Amino acid sequence: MSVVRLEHVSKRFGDVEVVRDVSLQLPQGGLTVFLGPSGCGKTTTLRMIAGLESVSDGRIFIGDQDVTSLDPRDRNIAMVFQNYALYPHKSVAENMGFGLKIRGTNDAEIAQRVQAAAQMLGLSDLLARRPKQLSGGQMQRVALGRAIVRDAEVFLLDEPLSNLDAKLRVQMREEIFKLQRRIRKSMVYVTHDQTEAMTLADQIVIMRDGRVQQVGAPLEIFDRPVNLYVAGFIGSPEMNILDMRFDGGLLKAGAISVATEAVQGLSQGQAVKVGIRPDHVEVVAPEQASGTLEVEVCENLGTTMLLIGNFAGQRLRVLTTRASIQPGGLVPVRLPPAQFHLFDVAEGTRLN
Amino acid sequence: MAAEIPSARTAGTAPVRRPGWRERHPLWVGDLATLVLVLLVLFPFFWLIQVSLRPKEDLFGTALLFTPTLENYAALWKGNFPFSFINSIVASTAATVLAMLLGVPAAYALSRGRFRSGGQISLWILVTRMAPPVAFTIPLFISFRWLDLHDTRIGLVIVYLTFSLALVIWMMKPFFDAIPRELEEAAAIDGCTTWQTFLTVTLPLAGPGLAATAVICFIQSWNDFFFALILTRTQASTAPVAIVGFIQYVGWEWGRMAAAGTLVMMPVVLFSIFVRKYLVKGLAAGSIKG
Repeated sequence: MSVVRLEHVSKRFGDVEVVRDVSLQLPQGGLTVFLGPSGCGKTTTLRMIAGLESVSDGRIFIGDQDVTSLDPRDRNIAMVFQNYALYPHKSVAENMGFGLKIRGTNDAEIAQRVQAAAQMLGLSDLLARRPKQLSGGQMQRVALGRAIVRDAEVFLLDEPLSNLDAKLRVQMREEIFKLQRRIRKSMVYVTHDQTEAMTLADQIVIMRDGRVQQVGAPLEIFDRPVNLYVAGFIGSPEMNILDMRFDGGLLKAGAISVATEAVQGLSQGQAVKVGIRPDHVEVVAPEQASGTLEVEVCENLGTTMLLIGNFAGQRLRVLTTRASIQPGGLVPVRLPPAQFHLFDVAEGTRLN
Repeated sequence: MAAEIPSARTAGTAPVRRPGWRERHPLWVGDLATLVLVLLVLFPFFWLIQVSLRPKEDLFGTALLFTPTLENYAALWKGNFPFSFINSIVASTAATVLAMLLGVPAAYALSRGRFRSGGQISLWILVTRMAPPVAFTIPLFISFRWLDLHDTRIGLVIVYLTFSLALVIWMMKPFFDAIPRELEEAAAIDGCTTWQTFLTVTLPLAGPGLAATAVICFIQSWNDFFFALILTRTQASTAPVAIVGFIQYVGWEWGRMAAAGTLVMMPVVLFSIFVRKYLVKGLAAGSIKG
């Protein structure tokens, strides 16, 4: 069952179309991540769900209700803003209880629910403080607390971790994960950080230029990106994309040829883009190799090592175990055909 | 500040320049100059206050030691001055309250609303302040005669309002601009209507700005002499006008003038002292953000 449904939603600011014909279903009780580079329309989509932006075209449903033209306060949603947006003139407890107070909940119940949320987030000792007396991580918690105190149907989080330093970000990421699993509320989470998306999401929505590129579970997207853009965006280090030609059951690039099973709709002599993840390229003995990598850069990552170099005139990244390889060295590598992602040269769509 | 300047120079990144006045002179020279200036500025005020406290026979005496007396104030109390003083209070307060009630929401709308020609509307509001007040005298005088507003408190309030409103709108807009929109969006999601958001979130945050604006607005109306002189006669004449009334054919009543002047000055001074903190903060915020 879906908790939020978007039907052909578009948003224009003047002549600029920032969200184009987005149709989506967000699962009940799940965490959906909108992922994409800045300016891809992910935040605008979230704000339309919140009711902070009007919808130019299309409809939005929350539960069974058409909320397209409802005010934010009638949508039963809670939101965490990128800069937290805590009320500076109210204490932590007042910040968290404000939504209940404005809706006429009695003081005893507000106090009780604020206490419960504060306990869950480890804020019990800070309830009397003002926002400016808090650290970034604490402010983040208060913003989360303000959302969970209200028993909203959907939680919207707009890049909630981007103002935190790297270490705190990892810590809060874990906490959000645990919190979501604990309260089992539907969450929509906007980020440009693929690690956050991969670790948190039940469902990832990848957006680019206002369009949805792919919707799916994290590993599904990782294993089968539907187009070149998604292939390049998801995964770190980035996927290798090689220009090759299909020729009699072989994929060829310069002097290199790799046997591959037949792919439907692929004609003889057709050029294709071949994607392979750096960790799928194998360093092998010379007799098994598909070709030789002329190493230009060795990046030591500790447990692993990233080799970047020239492979038959094309750039190739290989992620391998630690080895004594120097720039300028020649490394025999094998490209396993089972791990190939084949994409159309013109459209960028997936072929296999 | 003086300590920071040499270090900035030794850092060597700044272009070579002549050392500033502060660097070439010891600190006490500046302090002394400040003191002299402050005394110069404050001298008329102190002089006025001491004249108001001197006995009639010794008004312009130069002796620093004298027995202070309130006889000048007592004389004021018996005449028409209290009535004019009340007129001043009523007209200034009413104009300030109305200007705030109308101007603050207007400033908020101009700050937040997305509508065509928002900038032009702001400009036209400012334009009302560009012409010298003298230009309005005759039209105002004639229309007030026609509307039976001449020599009434309501008439004065209306005139003060036209000037204060532009001031309020232009002073308050930068304060609202400085309040992040996300706070209001958070309130909207928490369940506030537009008015609830404005009253519970935006307005409390604009508090210092409100205080500064209200005080400046009040002082502006309070200090007005020109319009009160032209548009009132006896019924609505204000305190500054009443002071001029002490200049008569039979002589100039210096004692009462000094006492009345002191009384007119007091509210302004007290207000400024009480809200000094907000005033500085408010004016600075407005100037930087605007």
